[in-house]
Parts: sequence; C-alpha cells; structure tokens
Amino acid sequence: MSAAAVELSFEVADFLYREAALLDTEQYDAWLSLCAEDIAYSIPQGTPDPLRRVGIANDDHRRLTERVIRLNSGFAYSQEPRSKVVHVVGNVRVLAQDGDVVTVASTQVIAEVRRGRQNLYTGLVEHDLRRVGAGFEIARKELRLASSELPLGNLTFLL
Amino acid sequence: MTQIDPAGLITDDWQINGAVYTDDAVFRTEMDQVFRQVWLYVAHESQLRNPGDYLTTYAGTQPVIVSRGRDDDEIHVMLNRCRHRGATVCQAESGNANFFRCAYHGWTYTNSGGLRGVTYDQGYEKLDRDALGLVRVARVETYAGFVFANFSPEGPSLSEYLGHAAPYLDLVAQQGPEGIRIDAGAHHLQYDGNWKLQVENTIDNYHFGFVHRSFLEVLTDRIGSPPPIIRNILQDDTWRTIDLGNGHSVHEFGDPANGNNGGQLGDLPFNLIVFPNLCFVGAQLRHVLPLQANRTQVRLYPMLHEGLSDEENAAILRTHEGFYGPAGMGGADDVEIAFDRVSDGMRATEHDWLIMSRGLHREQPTGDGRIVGRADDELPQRAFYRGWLAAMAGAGS
Repeated sequence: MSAAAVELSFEVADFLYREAALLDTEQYDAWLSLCAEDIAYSIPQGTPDPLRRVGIANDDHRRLTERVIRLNSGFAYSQEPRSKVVHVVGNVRVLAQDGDVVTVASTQVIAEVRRGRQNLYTGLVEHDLRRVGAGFEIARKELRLASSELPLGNLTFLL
Repeated sequence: MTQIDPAGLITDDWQINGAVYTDDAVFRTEMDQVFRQVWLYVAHESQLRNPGDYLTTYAGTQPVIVSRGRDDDEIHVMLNRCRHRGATVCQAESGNANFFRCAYHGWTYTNSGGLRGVTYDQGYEKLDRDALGLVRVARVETYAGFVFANFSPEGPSLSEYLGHAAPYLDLVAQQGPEGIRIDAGAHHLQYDGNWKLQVENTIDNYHFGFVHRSFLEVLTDRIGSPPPIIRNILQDDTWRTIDLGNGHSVHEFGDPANGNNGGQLGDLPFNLIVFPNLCFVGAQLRHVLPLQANRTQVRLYPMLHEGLSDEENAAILRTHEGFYGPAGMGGADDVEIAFDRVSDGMRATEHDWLIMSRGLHREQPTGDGRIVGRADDELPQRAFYRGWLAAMAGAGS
C-alpha cells in the first residue's frame, strides 16, 4: 500500500470513528453538520430499490433534519428514555476514489439498550465522503442491516 | 380449557376488562370463534397476477398459501402444512411455482393444492391421493381486488359480511388512476402486546395530538405553521367516525371520495377497519397478525398507484416511511405508548377495567345499521367490540 493510500485509509477511518462517537453521545446537531445538503441516507429493507420497494429509511437532508427536530422536541416518546447506543466500526476499506469523493465500506455492530433490553444490529455500511476544506462531508450513507427483513424493533435513534 | 363469558368482559357503560387483552383463554376463544367464522383478508390480486404466483401469509394464527392455480387460474387458499407429517411445504414469502414439494419426505403438491406425488409409495397399502391435497380454507371470495378466506363453509357471503364497509374498499381500489397494487414490500413490526391494541389504535383520533406531538412539531417546521389536524379532529363536523356494522368502522376526513388529511401520512381520505384484522391508513394496507395473547406481528403494505410513474410512486413510499416502519417518526411512538406502555400498565390487575365510553352519549344511529360519531370519539372501538361480542357469542355456553 502506498503512503498516500495508507494516509487516506487512516483519514477515512478516523472520520467514521468520529461520526460514530457523535451518534453514540447523542450530538445529533453536530452529526447533522457532517451531512452534505444533497445527502442520500438510506437503510434499505432487503435489496435496495428505493423507487419500487419500501425501505426502513430513504432520507434526504430535510428528512434527517426532521428526525433531529423530533428527537430534540422532548416529545419523541419512542426515544423517551433515549436509547443507549454504541457503534463498533470495523473492516474499514476504501472502495473507490472519484474526484473529490471517496467511497468507503465498513462493517458496523450497533448495540442499543432501551426498555430493559439490549438489541444488536449488524450492518454492511457504505459512505461516499466528499472532500470539503480539510475534512469530509457525508454525501451518501447506506446501512444494509443483516436483520433488515426481520420484524425490527425501534430504530428511531440515529444509526 | 377455561370457559369464558365474553359478555361479562364489557359492561353496559363500556368499561372493558383487561382480560380481553391479556387472558390466554380469551385469545384461544378468539382464534376458535372469531377467526374461524368471519372473513379474513389474505391477499390482494395484484400479488397474484400470473398463473403459478403464490404468497404465504396467516389466516388467524394458521400459516396459509394463497396461490393462483397454474391450470385453473383460480385463487386458492390452503393450509401450508404437508398432509404427511405436518411440515410447511412453502417457505418463501412470495414467488411463482408449479409445485410445492415438502422437503421432509418429498411429497409433492400442485400449486392449486392437489397431491401430485408420494415418494416410494409402494410403502403404503392404499393411499387416497384425491383426498390428500393440501387442506383448503372452506371459502374464498374477492371484493374489489381484496382476497378473503373463511374457515366456515356456511354463513354470510363476503359482500354481505363487508356490508357498509364495501363502498370504502371500492374507494381504496380506485385510489390510483388505474387502481392500486401491492408489490413494494412491507414493514414488519412485532410487539409484546395484544393484537387488538393495534386495530384499536388505527382509528383513535383522540390520541393523535398526544402520542404524535413530536411529529406535529416536525410538521409545524415542515409547513411553517401548526398543522390543522388537531383542530379538524375536534371541530370539523365533516370529520366523523362511523360504526359500519359487523365490527367494521371508518373515520372520514371529509368527503371519503375526495377529502384528505393534508397528505402527510398518505392520501387516503379515510381510515378504515375491516373486522377483525385488516386496516387502511394513509397509503398503507395494514394486516394485523395475532401470535399470542401478548404477542403480535403487524405488516404494513404501502399501496402503490397503478398508472403513476416510479418517481410518483416513490413519493408515496417516502411519505409512508416518514411516519411508519421501525424508523418512522410516528408509528414507533404508537408502539411505545399504545402497545408497550399499555401492556405494561395492564399487568396492574387489581382494578382491571378500561374506559371506552368517549362519545357514547352523542352516537347517532342512521337507521340503516350505521352509527355516526365525532372524530375524537371511541365509536370505532365500540364498533369493533360490538362485532367481537357477536362473533364470540356462544363461547361461554
């Protein structure tokens, strides 16, 4: 691996870790500020086909903003009390680089504790990270949950 | 088995005993009485367009296959259970097949249920193959594209059973320029509570401003001012609930052919409950599947519009996802409060009664078997339990 590739790999992994830390500490506004205005954020159910198949989430920036408004409203009962969430990010790999966009794959284990129960979600995650200034913004994030086609519990925290 | 007296569980002034939701004997009686004598929704014709198409679902708690026969082009509803040793013969949620083959010992059935082959059949002295097809649910009928099955060979026809609910199913079927189709998948949710909690919550306008307050804040931000839904529920006389008889009920947002709810949950201009476990809300067909007294699965099928582009139908899906499903900004609050917290609270059985009398004093019979109430009344719940009591009758004798 070239020095540039090592550096890029380190850089994107560090970004994913910091993103996960914001989600795990409920810093939703700060997380939202990582999202590009034209972000496509999705949690498909089964094979991704947002035009023809219902998904768990197919969000644009507006929908993500609404999720944060809801979570901050004090009346989001499905998050009252809040889920305790821990993202474990692994297997970070740079898949492609196209201009200023880096496509990154990772695997994530998302542990969520709420209502006296621990739920475990695992997923294959892809990010399109777009360079802005010295850092990145998230242009696309897709979480393919291994359990996406099971009856799922409460995914109203931010994944 | 414990005998129960359903009529004793609901008082004349509409208090409902918690046992209706929590008692295993009540649940078993429901499965024996209600779900084996009324018409049960099983599929929509758009899921079974071609000969050989099939899907698997549940009629009450019983796994069934619904198929369009390869040979006869008829819709068949049969138990998903091999006649030999009981294994399910079809595993997929949907597909197209000529045969269903049991993987246990290789017995094979045609896709319309006939027993086609028995492996190494010299091991049986005699076998009446004609009598060993997959067991059929006694009656199958279709109304406006919605396929229903009935375990009871006798009783009212589907259109008699639907009665005043039938015109609303016609309106659902006419939603798109060329009708509707159900082929976009479904959200599945499961909760530790009784199936009737989900049905009752389907038309409960009283709860909307409380449970969905966070969604109202989102809408306020989205449209720039507080949405009119709560004002309409409390003040608009054209928003009304109607007991349609036989356990069915509707809530109309104005004219059921042209009214609307502001489109933030989907465009259907009414919420409809077809007794016992089929509901229509927003853009979705909701199929409520009882599992146990305290365990329920719900499937939410977005209804796409025939004659619209993929992009236009995608907008229907996005609106649906905004409120419903595991990450929806509304449905999850119903699960939390109307199912989980209610189920937790009903473990306090020292005084085991709920109050379902809201609007009882202002019910207005129309003279044709329907009863009209205000939008925020518990009239749909009483409509449901009137149907429930009738279907449960005889269980205690």
